[in-house]
Amino acid sequence: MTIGKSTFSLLLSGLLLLCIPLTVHANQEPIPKDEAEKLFASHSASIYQIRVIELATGNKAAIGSGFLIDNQGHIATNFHVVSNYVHQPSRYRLEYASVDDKTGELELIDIDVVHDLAVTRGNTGAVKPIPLGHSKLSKGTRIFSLGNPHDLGFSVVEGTYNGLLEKSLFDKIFFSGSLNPGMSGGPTLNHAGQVIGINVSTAGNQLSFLVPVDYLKKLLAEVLQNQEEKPDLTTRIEQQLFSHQEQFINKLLKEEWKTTSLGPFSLPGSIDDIFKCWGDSDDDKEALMEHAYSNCFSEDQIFLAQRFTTGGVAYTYDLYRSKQLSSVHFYNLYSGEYGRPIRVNSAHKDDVDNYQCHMDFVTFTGKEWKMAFCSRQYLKYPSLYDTTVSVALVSESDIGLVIQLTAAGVGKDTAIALTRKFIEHITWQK
Amino acid sequence: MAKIVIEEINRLGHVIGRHKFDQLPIAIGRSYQNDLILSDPFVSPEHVIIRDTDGGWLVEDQNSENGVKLKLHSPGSRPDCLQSGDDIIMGRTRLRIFSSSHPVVATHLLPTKASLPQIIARPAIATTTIILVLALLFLDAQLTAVKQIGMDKLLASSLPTFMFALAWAGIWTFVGRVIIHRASFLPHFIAALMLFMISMLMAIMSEYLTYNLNTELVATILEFIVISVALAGLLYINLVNSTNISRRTIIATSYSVAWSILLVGLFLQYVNQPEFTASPEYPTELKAPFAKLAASTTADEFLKDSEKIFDHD
Repeated sequence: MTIGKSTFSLLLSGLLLLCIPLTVHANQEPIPKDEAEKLFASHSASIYQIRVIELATGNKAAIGSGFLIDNQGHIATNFHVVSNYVHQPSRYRLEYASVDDKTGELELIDIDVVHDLAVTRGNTGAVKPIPLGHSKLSKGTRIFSLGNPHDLGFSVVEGTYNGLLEKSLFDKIFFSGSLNPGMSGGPTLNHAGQVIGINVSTAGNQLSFLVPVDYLKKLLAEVLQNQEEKPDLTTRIEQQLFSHQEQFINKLLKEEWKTTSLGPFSLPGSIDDIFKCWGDSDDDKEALMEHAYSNCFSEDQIFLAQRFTTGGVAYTYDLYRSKQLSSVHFYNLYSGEYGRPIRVNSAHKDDVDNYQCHMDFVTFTGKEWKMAFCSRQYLKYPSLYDTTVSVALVSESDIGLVIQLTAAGVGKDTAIALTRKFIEHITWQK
Repeated sequence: MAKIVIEEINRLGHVIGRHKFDQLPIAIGRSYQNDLILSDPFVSPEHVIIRDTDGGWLVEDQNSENGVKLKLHSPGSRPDCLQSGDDIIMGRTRLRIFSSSHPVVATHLLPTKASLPQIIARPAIATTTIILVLALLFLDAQLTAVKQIGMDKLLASSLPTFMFALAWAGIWTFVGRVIIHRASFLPHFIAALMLFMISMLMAIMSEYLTYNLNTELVATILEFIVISVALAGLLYINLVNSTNISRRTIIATSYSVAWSILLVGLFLQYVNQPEFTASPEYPTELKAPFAKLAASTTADEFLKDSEKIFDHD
């Protein structure tokens, strides 16, 4: 029965280990009021749980957090918290609940879909708004996130400011602290109790992200300016996405592109800081062709709805070399590798059309290529498309190269201009 | 008066007995006094007597229990008189009466040319087909191999096809054995292999066609037509070789069966097409440089042409 004994002693030691911090805590003197506690005490009255209520059942369809930003009752939160209501205002309504469980109706005023922000208004009574600060702090500064994680109750999370990430599709603050679902839309405060960012997302294990408060200031200024007319949100989303993507792609078009070589080719390399490139080659001795690849992705996506994201751009290269196969054999294998499209976003049939493709043989850099250009239109935002270009080298009997370039949520002209510049940067070096 | 022939006809319309008479009247019935003795229990002992009259052969019912029925081929003649070629029905027996001067159908000529099943079963054609199918299968396995493959794998790749052809031919040989009491295996086997060869060649051809045309439409239509004709051909050979249905019926049957199979297949494919696909779909065939017959365009032209896919409605 030694097993039983050892299990028991293990259990016992486990219990003791668990007990240690608790007993230590209990034996200590009451800790003096610390910063987090002070901040929570002074600001919790201006923090709300934001609820999206389904009209037919009266149940919560989504929850998040929000906070009062001025004396007119404007409450800021994330776009993704209220996205159900934005897309189907006839099915849902918005509601807020304060720390002392007071609830009230919320009106959606405006959104910034790119930076995942929304401004709502509610009749909150005489509550002190949280002042908006600045998003630039020095690395390592302690900051405090407020919100209502998993509907468990309002809470404060302490963490560290780890800089503004500018090498991404949109700026975001890297927060080393644990944000959890339900805290989205809540404020993150500095020592002085000013908002520096809005809780937005997490990548797990203390890797969390905040929207810099500057974008909220910008949105609030717009709200205050256009107080008379309420914007049509569908048009607003389309305009915001279009101009953001236009700006981003135009920046890519203006930049000098670095090139990289892959086999006999010189190809667009890391064309902008926002692209993260990965590559490797297969090392299978039995395989009849060699394969080397390089994939570059912009990692961020813009949230539109539960299963509908946009904004990503990616390009991939797959180089194949024949190990002394006949050209027919080589092309049979190479052909199987063509037409495996990369995806940078997700969308469903209520969001987008089916893809339409144009396909032809094209000559550039003195070689022959098979090329397919495909696009699908966004149903609610018709000026936006997902486009994907697939190119395969077809003039060499022992080398194959598949190039794919895909962009989500772009306009027609930018997609074509980007493809043109991309093709111009493909050269055969031999 | 010419001599008279009476044929006994069974229910399938086949002649089961012929009786020749030199003179009339002729008594028909079950009793042994009759000129024509029938064993049908539904026939009376003295059923009818057939007499000669000016209007033809008069049928006199001898008060039979079950009566007599005449089936006359030339209307307008007397309803109780028979002409050469007419039928008398009594009990469950059908008799057909002829005068000996009744014309007979022209002689069937023995086929001077061999039938299609015989042609394809000739040693030269049969051997060539088997070798060609083997070669195609080996070549296909070799040219699509991702890794080096040995002879055993090559052989294994040809087995399913041959097993299928053997099974198909076996079934039709059995059908032939049952229906026409003749078993002939080789034509069925070779025909099945030929269909397989044609469909394999068509698949290869349609890949090259699709590669050059940048659309699957033409190749699909062509493949449909060729495969349907080839499938009808296989069924034609199977039916000719294993049944004695008339050629016209066989052709109609084989074509309608082949077309219905393929149309049902096309229909199912159409119905099961997903309404929405998350990835773009375009023909992904790539072929060796020598196979490119279509002309290339420039990148600028291509991008200009690509603009049309943005006008979705």
